[in-house]
Amino acid sequence: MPLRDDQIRRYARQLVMRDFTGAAQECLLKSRVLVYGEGPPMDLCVLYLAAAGVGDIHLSGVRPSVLDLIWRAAALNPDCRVHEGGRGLRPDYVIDFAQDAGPGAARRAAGALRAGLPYLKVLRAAGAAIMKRWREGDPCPGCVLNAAGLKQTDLLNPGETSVSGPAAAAFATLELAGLGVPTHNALLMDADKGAYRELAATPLPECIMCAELADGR
Amino acid sequence: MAAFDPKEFAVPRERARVLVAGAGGLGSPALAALASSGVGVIGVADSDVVDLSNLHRQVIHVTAGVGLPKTASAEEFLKRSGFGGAVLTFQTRLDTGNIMEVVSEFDVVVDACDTFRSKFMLNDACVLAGRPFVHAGVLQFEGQIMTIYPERTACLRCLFESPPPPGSVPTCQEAGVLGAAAGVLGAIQAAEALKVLDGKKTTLSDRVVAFDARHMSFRTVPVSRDPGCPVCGTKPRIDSMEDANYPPEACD
Amino acid sequence: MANERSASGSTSRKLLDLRGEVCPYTFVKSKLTLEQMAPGEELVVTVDYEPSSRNIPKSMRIIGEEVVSVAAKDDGTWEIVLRKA
Repeated sequence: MPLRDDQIRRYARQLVMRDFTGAAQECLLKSRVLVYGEGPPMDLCVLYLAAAGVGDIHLSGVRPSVLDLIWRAAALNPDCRVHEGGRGLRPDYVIDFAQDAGPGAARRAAGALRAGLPYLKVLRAAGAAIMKRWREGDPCPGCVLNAAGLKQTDLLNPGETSVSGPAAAAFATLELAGLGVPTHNALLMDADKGAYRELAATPLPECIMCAELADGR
Repeated sequence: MAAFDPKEFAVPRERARVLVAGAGGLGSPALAALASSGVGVIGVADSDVVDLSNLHRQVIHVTAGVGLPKTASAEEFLKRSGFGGAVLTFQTRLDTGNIMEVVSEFDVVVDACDTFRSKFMLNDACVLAGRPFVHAGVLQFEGQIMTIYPERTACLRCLFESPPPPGSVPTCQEAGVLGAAAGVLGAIQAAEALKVLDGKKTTLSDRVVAFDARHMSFRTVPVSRDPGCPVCGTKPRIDSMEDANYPPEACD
Repeated sequence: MANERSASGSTSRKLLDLRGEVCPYTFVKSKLTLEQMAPGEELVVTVDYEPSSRNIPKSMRIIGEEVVSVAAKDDGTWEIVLRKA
């Protein structure tokens, strides 16, 4: 369906870019994103996805602020519908903000990979954020966390930075618009230390979760 | 150059006054992050009204607010977000006549404006007023950020002596931007402003971080003060705010 | 929008009347129209906003499209002929 006049005006500043074609915008408007987790960066991520014109965003899990976020996204862009709950959904993209680098995260990653869905994971600890788009053969979220010198218990103290929200939204927007996968490298965004760089992560020997991911089970 | 202690510029959060100059693509994520930071006062300066074409990237505004001053819309956002401090709005274009007065009211300034002219004006005003500030710029899928401690670390004019000549930079209509790329830079700006207030040594001062969303890559480039800098060098040419130093831009 | 045969022969031409529109929508609408066309086809854009007569050609060249001609008309409009690359 061609873009309406009000949509051309709303998205003009992204449509002026060479690769951001009308077809790319239409892809975004038709896309369906499933978001796990909660917290200020996730809220910001949802708002950026809504602003860019993602058609449907499903928020998995119950949280007190969800109604406010749904209101905000709708107030920002009526083209985007934000839904509570994602059970039984067939999304085009999965973004996982859950503060979990254990078996739960490995299972969600494996599930998404098995279904052929992009899976983007964000973990926050001590003022830093780690972000990675998973693909087959990658180490598990726990091993990536470890590569950043962080432990599972550090996830209890995420710190106050919100950089990972828009970063995840930028990543997903580019991919959903058909502009390619920006990178498969893990990224460290440590706002507290002022360090922004790639993270070299390898599976720890005999990591059960890595094996599970490799199995694609 | 003697080392300096960033604690010189530290202010307790609850008393801290932060100015966000520009309530647009960079100002939106900066304000969203500052809303829950516990700072005492947030200042918002912007002369524009909300336009439909802003909303793909300026996520603090709403469709029903199209036509409202961005300052009022930003204040509404801060209130709705539960910001407990005071909000000061400046619904005016910052110019050579008022900028020193506005900047001097704050402990740290976030450069979230969108023209080179404003960015250089803000740089000079902050250097002259002795206010630390966080510069950022974004275009299409890329942007850069640097924190400046006046007369301590490199300022914008240490890197670029003057704004680029008109015509050499993209005009308004070419200046597309991926909203979330501006989001990344603005969120980093808020984090930097808070580190300045906390007196931390880890700010992005004397280094520029360049971000490219297309490849999701960050590059850190060390920079240093230029003794010949027109505003913070040993023999500064700019010692007050004069219009002649800020040629108008084609899009102004 | 209308289609016509170009004077030169078989190339198909599209007409896009953007009178009353300003930047950046004049460029965006031209770009979106051009995206729907086949390589070699021409798009004739009419604008009455002077900056657009400069900005459309400039931006089109930046994104790699061909600007065939820009002509000021007696009625205060500009006719910009673009060819899809």
